[in-house]
Amino acid sequence: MSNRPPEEFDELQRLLKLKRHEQPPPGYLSHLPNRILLRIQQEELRQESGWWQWFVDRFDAKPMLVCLYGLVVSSLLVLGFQVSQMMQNETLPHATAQTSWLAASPDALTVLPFPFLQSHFANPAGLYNYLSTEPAVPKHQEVGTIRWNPGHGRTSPVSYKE
Amino acid sequence: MMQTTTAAVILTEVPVNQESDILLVRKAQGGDICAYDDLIRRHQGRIYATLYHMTSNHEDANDLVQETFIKAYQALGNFKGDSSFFTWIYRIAVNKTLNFLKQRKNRVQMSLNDLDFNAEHDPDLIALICEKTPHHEANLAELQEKLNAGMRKLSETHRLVMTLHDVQGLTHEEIGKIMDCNTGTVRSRLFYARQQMKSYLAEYLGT
Repeated sequence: MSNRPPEEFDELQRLLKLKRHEQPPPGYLSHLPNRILLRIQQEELRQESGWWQWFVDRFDAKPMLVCLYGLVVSSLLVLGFQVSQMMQNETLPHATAQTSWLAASPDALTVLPFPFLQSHFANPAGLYNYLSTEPAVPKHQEVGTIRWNPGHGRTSPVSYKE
Repeated sequence: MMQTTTAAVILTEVPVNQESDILLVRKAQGGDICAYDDLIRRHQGRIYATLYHMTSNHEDANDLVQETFIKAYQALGNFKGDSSFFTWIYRIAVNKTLNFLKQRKNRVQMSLNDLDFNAEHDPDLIALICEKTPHHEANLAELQEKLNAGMRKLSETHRLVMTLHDVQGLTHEEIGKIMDCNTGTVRSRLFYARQQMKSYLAEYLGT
């Protein structure tokens, strides 16, 4: 086949030359490298993004998968809660198997709070010694007040201290 | 006028300096994005033209040429230099295009690119249209449409061989490397494709 005279397709080849004159829209080839490099950089950024982006990408446009994951996580939470209740029942001897978890919880009226909380509520202002009868203000600081004296038309500080 | 002439040269007659290609590839492998930019500018015209001739659609060719260069950049680490960069990237482009054409089998969309200024002054084309064909009134646009429609009638592999050889001007050996087949297969495919096209374009060829 290759030994056929090439003249057989000479005219066709000349006609096909027209294809060489086809060209893309003006300016297309000038902008093409920038578009390609931009896409390469975006691709690299996407690959370098954190696990959260990867996680979101996995779920992108997959609502069934999202629902399935939600269901699995919820089931695990419920299961964990039930297991914790079972373990609690085993550690509390007075709680019977029929006792609900609310009934098994400690009584708020009879149980004392932690020692730290007790001292805090007994001395909320944080005084140094709240049982002392001494004045809270030091002696060298005189506490005075302004008293009106109508006879002199003047005011003078009066101390209540003897 | 100057602009269109330059564009035509870029599409068809870019000299490929293989030594510089390899140098640029080594730089790009080291993370030099500017070197890859040079490689794109060097080969984009021919790659685009091939993909356009294969798809007859600018948008499809645009998508494919971008994907080709992105894929090539990601696979640049695998390029050992056994073949030229030109052959290597052509192979990526061709594989992508053949896969694409298989997928869009039944989608018929043709968007013909404009012809450059030189087409109207090409003596061969003028002679064929005005002297040898009975359709003297036929213009270049009609012929272009007929050519593209004829090429779309060929199978993907036959169209590819004809595009690479008769339009792009590659040798049988180069085409064989790109398509991963021997030159005998290339020649037989080319012969069959030409025969098909010749019968389709009989009215323009005066046969």
